[in-house]
Amino acid sequence: MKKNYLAIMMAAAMALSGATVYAGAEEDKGYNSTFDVASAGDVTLDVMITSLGDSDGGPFLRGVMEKYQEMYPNVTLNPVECSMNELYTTLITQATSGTLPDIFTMSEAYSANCLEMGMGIDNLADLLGEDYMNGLLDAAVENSTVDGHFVYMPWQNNTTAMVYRKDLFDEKGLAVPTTWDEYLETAKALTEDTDGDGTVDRYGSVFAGTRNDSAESRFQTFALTFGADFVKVNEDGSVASGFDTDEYKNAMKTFIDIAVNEGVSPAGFVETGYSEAYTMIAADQAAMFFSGSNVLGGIYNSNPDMRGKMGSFPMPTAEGVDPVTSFSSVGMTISNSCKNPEVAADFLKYLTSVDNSIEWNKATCRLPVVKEAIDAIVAEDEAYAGFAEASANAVIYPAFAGLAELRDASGECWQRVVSEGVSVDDALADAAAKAEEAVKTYSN
Amino acid sequence: MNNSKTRLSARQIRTKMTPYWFIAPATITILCLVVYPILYGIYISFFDTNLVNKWKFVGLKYYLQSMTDASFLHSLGKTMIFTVCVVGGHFIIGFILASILNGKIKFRTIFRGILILPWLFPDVVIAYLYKWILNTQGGILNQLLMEMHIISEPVGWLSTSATAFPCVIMVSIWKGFPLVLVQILAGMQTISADLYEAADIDGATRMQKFRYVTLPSLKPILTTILILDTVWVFKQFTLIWLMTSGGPGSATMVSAIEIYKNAFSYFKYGYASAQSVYILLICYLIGVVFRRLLRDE
Amino acid sequence: MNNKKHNQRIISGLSYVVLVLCCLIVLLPLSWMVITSLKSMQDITLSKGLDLFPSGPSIANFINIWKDYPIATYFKNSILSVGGSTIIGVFCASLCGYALSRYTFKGKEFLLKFLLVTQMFPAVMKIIPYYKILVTVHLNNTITGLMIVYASFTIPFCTWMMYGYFKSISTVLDEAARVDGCSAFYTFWKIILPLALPGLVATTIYAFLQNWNEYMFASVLMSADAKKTITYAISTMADAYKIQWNYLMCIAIVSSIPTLIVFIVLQKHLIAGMTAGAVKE
Repeated sequence: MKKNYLAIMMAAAMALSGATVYAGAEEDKGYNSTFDVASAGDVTLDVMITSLGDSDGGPFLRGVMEKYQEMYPNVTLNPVECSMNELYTTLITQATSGTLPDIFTMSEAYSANCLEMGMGIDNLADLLGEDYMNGLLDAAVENSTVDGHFVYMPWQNNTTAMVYRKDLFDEKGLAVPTTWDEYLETAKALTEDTDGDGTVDRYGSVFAGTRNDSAESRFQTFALTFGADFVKVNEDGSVASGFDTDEYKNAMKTFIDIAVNEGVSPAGFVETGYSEAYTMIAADQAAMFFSGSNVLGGIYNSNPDMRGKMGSFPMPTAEGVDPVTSFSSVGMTISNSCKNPEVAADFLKYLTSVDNSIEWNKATCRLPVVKEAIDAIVAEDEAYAGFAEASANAVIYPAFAGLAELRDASGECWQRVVSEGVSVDDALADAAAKAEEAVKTYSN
Repeated sequence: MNNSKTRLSARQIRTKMTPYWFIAPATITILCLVVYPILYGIYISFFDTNLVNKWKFVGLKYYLQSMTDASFLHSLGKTMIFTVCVVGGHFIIGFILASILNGKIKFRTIFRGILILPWLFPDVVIAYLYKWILNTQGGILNQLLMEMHIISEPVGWLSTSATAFPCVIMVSIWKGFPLVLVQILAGMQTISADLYEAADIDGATRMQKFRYVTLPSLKPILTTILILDTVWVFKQFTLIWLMTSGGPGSATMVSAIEIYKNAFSYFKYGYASAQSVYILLICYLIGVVFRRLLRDE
Repeated sequence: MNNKKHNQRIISGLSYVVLVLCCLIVLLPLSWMVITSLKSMQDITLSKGLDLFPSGPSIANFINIWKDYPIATYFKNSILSVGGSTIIGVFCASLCGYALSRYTFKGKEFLLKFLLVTQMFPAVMKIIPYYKILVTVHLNNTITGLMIVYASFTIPFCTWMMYGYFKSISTVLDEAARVDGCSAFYTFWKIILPLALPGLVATTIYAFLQNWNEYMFASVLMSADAKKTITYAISTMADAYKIQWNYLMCIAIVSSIPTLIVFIVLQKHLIAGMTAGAVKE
């Protein structure tokens, strides 16, 4: 109940600010609306967005929904919570019975299946309109597109970049590293025993090494900065594993070296997940970590004192590799059983307006994919500058259904080296064999 | 004479029907709700499918593929070891504690109340609780051991393959023994006191009473719990998934996790179903073996 | 004789040692849970070295989870679905277990085996078909639907348990009752079931706990916000992106209160002092 109250308050406040900013602007609603929602009659939409259950993103989303309903009293939006862990299980289950919600969270991990199973409407791009589509990052549009179909509307900009302790860099006069060798040197300079008791209290770097998709996809980005692709798509369209290339092997060796062998990372690498890693940054136990921009939210939540001390820079690369990073995006799509797709699309556009994106960034530290909104956010908080800069060189992975399995093989590889003492070369050979096998199963 | 004969047969018919009335509610529920899911699972194991609009019949392909799939076979091996250790632990601890609690013990209610506690919490919570206690960085166990100078460096309990599997087994035993304890205790309480009195009259010792009265009376209950506990542990998912996700490497990769990954991470439902059917068959065989071994003489 | 008494004393002394030791093993991790629930997130993430106790222990977390989450609704849903399913499940199972222990009839062996088989198929593969059934009968997103699903989870095990307990009760009483002209149901309900009370209680506790702690089916089958159960709240405190240790432990403690109550209310019946006497006559 309190949640709702808060939401209404927020909605009111936002409505006010929205009105002042856009007074006199040519678009009086403050967003790119192309459909006359007010005269669409009574509309009810079930909105299942995973962020609804978050303590930061949830109130924001509910606030936006309330505000939209105030603007269009004929529209009723029902928030439906679903945790990210159960999203696909829930979607698959509902799809088999044709009971999908009107709007639901979708990501690249499942977009190919979403298209194949015909979960979403097929004219999403038309509904959003050319104007709107042109305002999105190119990588984002490409990322949501499978076989020429625009499957879902991108929303969260998960460009990977390095977050770091700007205050420590300034204090020690360190420059932002651009190669992994420089990174290692920087990390060594940052690793220190701050209280003089003989044990290291702050490490220069922390990598996530758990065997789950979160850490494994991070490694995929890491490999990218060595010029290693998990899969190589040949000219004839056939796919081959990239695990047997020197680039991949180099990436794996350097990854393990930095995470374990060089003494610049805390112990417990293979059980350090995303949340453990950013907690260490927050607790002043580590100084650099690569991730999406939302990691800043995690850090600020765990330790509000870190606000103002953090910065970001684009991923370092191996010698001779141009700056590159990975892009992925979580977004929403409209189900094919939705009776009012035009209204649903209009709401999604409203949700991602510049004003709403700024509010959203304040609540969750996430970056949007609407170009105009990114600029507005970076102008306000330079901690995001590195992410914005990295966005320019962001690439997306080739759509390949077996990617999750390849990632998992990578995770298994470093875990075996670190925890079972298997030699890197043996583990790499096994991983390559496994990848080969996986690629074969998915290719036919 | 004739009259009494017909009355008898009417009653016979009635008694013949009686058991069916008794089993009807349970059986109908099971038939409506449990049979279909299993048949559905078996059905899709013959298809390459996305469960909505792609149904490509592949016959026994996935069954054959599973049999040569190294990671599936590895997971089966892990599951076997896991099951033997965990079920063994449940029964040894459960039996000892039930025997003690069944005797004359002061503060019995308090002891029983405490010992039951692990059962009350969801797997999710227990998994996270232990994950945190055993954490390398800042986990309370490492901190305590270091404070006591037993270890000098934090130990990666869940991140070293030598310790991860035993840790997962310990936690599973810790979480599951109260169920066995309570069931055995309840079983011991239903043994009628006159059996023990008769044994006393015959001058039986404590051990003899246990061997010739307690064990045989408990046999039906024990067989049931043994089979079901085995089956459940065999399919244990939540605890391991949340603590290690099958890692490090594949040190804790049991079949349930392998199947889950295939189905909901790799979206290979047919393949996952075929593996599920194998699990079903293996569990069934275990059940048959147990029942043979523990059959009433 | 003296020797025997001596032995007795050693055994009982040893018993207490074992009990106390086991209780410690159980309590230590759980006390860590309670301590965590009283800490602030800063206490947890920023502590260096051995920090056993919260800097300022407070029940703020407990108040906050009530404020931030509709815990009351979650509780209501959990109690209705789990309570209902426990009653339905245990009742059906007792009937069925009684018939299996007392009668020989066609299909008995098959039924017993079949009940076991239902437990053997990995649960994750059963979610989709369960949902399809509920949608077909328009019971998805309803408490009734979840109640029936949960009942079907517990019936097989409970039937087997009750079958075992009934089997350990002598059939002499049944025969006596039949001679007295009691109906089969009356014999079951008034004479045998009370004797199996400890077993019945153990089975009920099992059924309640099993479903109270169930998460995956509850979250997928009940997607509407107003129909979510308490385990959903637990899962939102810990997902891939962050784990709020203090809230997680708080909600774990709060959510186990009903199970604790059920256990405290029922546990005295686990002792069969009074029923043991009845069989003797």
